Amino acid sequence: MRISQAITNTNEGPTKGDLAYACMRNQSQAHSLMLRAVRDSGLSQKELARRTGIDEATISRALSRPRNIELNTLSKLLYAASGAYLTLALFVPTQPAAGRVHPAGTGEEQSSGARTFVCTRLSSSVDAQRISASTGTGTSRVLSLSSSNALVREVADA
Amino acid sequence: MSIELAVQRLVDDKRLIHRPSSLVGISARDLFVTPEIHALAHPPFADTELGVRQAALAAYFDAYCERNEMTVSQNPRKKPWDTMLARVDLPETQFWSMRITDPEDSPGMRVLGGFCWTDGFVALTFDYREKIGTDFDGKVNEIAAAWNDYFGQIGPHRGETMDAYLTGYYEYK
Repeated sequence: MRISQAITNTNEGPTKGDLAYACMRNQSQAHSLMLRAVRDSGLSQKELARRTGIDEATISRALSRPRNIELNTLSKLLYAASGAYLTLALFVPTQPAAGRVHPAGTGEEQSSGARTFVCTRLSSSVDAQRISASTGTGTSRVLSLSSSNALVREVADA
Repeated sequence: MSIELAVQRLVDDKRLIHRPSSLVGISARDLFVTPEIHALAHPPFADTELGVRQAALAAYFDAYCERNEMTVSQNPRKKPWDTMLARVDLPETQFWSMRITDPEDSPGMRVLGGFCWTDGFVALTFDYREKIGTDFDGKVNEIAAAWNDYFGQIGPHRGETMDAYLTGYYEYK
């Protein structure tokens, strides 16, 4: 069974809600990267408009909240603000992160237990940190995750 | 009693749920929600317009929990319409509104609550925006009553600047 089938709630493919979740999550990641780059650059929206050729109104809309920004607009803003390029990576969950766990292909439920994630910042110097997270309702905190441009992978060994 | 202890007790009593990111299960910021709100905001999502709206709520919560950058405004009367997090009028009440404005063709949703510590938010009320209408005062009264019900005399966490409430933000002034 394909991994994607383990996390969708029908055998006919993802629902409108599932697709919307995927889109909005990705928009949120892109928005966060852009907002941070712009804020840290100290550049005004006017200066960014000058440097990118994008009008200020478009820049303002792009920064205000996550939305379906064009990749070229994102690329120009990131590069103009910080000289940065995007590194895109896939994150494919093997099972739902929260709540009950359904191993692909079995339909069985497992009780949630402690899970271990490796967090890797997507930058030129890869910096991997090991964090553990509980899927229950405890109040344990993640030790560190300070940037949204991070790839979080689940590992089998704790 | 400290607010930290109060939150812990509410979690232990299952009146609040410490909600991590739905996708990656982390809490780079802490988000505590009522069981009712939690039920609305996690996968799987239905193949309906309501499912899409609930997906938007979950994606917003995930962004908060994963410490994505957020646009914020401390002036409830002067903010861009799509600001992500804003103080609720009256500012002295220390309540905030998580403003979910997706999907774009919907009126959006509002989750009201207060901070319990820096990067820790307690979400107590939820409404689809179209049901609020212009009854903003009513929503302020509702969150105040809810906070009193959960925390008694312990008020929300407060600070002099936005840094006291949140890290990783872009503030509209």
